[in-house]
Amino acid sequence: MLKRPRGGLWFELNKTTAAERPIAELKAPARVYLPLKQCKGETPSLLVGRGSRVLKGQPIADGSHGLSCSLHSPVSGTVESIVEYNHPVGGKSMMAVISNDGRDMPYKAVQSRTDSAEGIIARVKSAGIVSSNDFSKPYWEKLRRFRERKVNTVIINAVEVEPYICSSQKIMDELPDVTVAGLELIMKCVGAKKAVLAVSDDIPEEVSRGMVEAAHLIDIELTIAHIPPKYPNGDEQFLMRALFAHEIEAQMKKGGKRPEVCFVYPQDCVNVQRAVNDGVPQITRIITVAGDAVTNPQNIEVPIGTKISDILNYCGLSFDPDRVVLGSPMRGVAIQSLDVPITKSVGAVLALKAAQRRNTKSICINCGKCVSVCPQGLLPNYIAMRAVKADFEALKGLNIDECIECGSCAYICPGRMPIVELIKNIKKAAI
Amino acid sequence: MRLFAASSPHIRHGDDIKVTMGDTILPLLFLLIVAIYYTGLRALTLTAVSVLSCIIFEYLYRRILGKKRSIGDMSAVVTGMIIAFCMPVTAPIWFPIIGAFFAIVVVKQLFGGLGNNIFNPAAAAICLLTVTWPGTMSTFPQATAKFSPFATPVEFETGVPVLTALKNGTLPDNRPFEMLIGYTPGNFGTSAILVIIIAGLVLLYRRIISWKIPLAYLGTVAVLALLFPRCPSGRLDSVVFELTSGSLAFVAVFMATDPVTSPVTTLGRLLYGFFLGLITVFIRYFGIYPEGAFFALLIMNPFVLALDRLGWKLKSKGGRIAYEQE
Repeated sequence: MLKRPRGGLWFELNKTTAAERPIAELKAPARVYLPLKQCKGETPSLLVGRGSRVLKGQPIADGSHGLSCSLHSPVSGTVESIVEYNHPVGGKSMMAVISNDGRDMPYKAVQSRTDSAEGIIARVKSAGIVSSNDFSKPYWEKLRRFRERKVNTVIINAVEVEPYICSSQKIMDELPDVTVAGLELIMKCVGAKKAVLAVSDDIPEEVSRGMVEAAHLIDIELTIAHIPPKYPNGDEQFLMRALFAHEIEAQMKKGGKRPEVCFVYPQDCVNVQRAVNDGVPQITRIITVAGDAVTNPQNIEVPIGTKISDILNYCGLSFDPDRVVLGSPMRGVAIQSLDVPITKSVGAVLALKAAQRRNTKSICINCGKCVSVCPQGLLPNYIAMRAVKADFEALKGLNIDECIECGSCAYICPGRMPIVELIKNIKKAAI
Repeated sequence: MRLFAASSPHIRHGDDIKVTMGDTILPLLFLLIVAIYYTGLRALTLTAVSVLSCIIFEYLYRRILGKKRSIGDMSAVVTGMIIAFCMPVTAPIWFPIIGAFFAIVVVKQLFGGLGNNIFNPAAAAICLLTVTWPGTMSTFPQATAKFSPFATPVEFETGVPVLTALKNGTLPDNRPFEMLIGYTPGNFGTSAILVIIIAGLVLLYRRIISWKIPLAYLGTVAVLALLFPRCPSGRLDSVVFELTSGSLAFVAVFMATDPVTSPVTTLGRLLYGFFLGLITVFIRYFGIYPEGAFFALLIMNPFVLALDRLGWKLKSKGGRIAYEQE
């Protein structure tokens, strides 16, 4: 029996202000900070040294070996220093600090137009594109796997169901032609014939219509799938359940094969289009900057390596936030200092008022709200109880492995139990 | 700028324990107003004494043992109101104090405070009072009688509560309509069925309670009353009187749904309600006390974990899609 999607949260999405403003472009600051490790996998090898002159778009780290990802300079200037750095999202690696000469002198790589699947993957690889979902793998590796799986449908995942986050919506709104051009390349690369645009119900009608029209111009039949704006429906596995409940059920009876679909994000499409057709590596990313402390919530295109403090200064802070989060409000990472640079795997910067007082005593009153919102059908209250006692045997019996750490339980908990934190810690301790 | 680097999620729902308790207190206040209207200001005195002693006991206990203050979560207020409501209005003023002490200190705090208690504090307190002073706890004045706030009533005309009439196999004095508006001899806060129904709907809407326990509980009682009628005037009357008499509806809405001492799984909740109904009817039919709801709660409380274990067995069955996120 297939478990129907249940649980989940209906947020007040709070994204109108940011979604109404156009995507702004942030000028590269005087210094950019580039941790070499921008995604999962191995750290790429450094190509420049201290004092090297670099041009805008010039590779500074080479990721052609192993599961890795190249890195390019978003500015032209001089490498000031190479230091060790521990990025809160990416982890420990060397970091190149480049001072910007302000002249934006572009690096010209000799590249010819390419149309073959291998050519596209090679171009994506040399452009250092990182997948824009939370799992931030090198994008060439994802494309290779999609191709290997013989994917027949590409689904643009534009389901944004967390508060504040609206960069996918804005990209589709303002860059529909670029997005569908990227989609065409991805489809060609993986050999897919069909394309679906999955959007949440709350997205303005003209955005999805614009996408369909742009796709029509280059002969792609883009079907729209409306998904209820329920968290975590943007997750691939839940999107899968929402889109293909019947197919999956039928196929699971036969032998558990999943539909041959793959998910891409509008940001991915844009990156691929720019890399393959324009020869531009990934040196920027469109992110949402929002939160109750941000004066002008908006989506901005930031050069990789820009510090969070520069971004927040640009958007303005109406008061000192208690929490600054890289990524989504439900799964992002809270940072302790604003001196952290943006990497390719950061999709949003949120400056928030504290959701609770520090040192709030948390208790479980067993109310069961967590049970009713858990999208995986687990019992978070019992898991938390056992996690406190580190009772691994019982935790296994409670299927703790199925927890996707979506945070729904901790969000709803009236006793403010840090359920996700407990689960993360216990998973770490079990290894 | 001091940044707070806590784990995700970084946003929280606004309803914390205080809000939850506050949402429970509001409908209880309406019940209190009805009670004051029917029985006079003594209802207010008893409630106030009960609530105040609950708060004081909780404060003192945690103060003396050097624990973190907890009266801010308002759970003591809810317990206090419930204890008072489940007494006859003629109960002496020290009854709620004893009840509050037992509920807060013995049943709640000795087990570790809110969230850790196995037994429903208010139900335990009522059971203690009922067992110790069965006469006072089951002697009810006529519904028409009014009482002044402070003087302990000594002589008053006693009324026959519907439950006693049913036990004796006689026809109750009240009409079903009077039961609905609470115009019947009984505990002063638990008789107004109509208000309790509305309160239940409000609590459901605010997601403070779930429908599963009250429905399974009342449903079981209704079915049993239909199958084994006690009222001489027929099966349907029997169902109506069993459901509206005593404190059953109040217990089903406000006490059986107490989060701390009830299961969280669907099957667990349904079974919990079912067994509560079974035991309540059993005690009503064969016990020496007319009302069995409070005892049923205490009997079922220790089984909550076991019921949830059963519920989890059912819940965890059935395949999930194995899908690896890329």
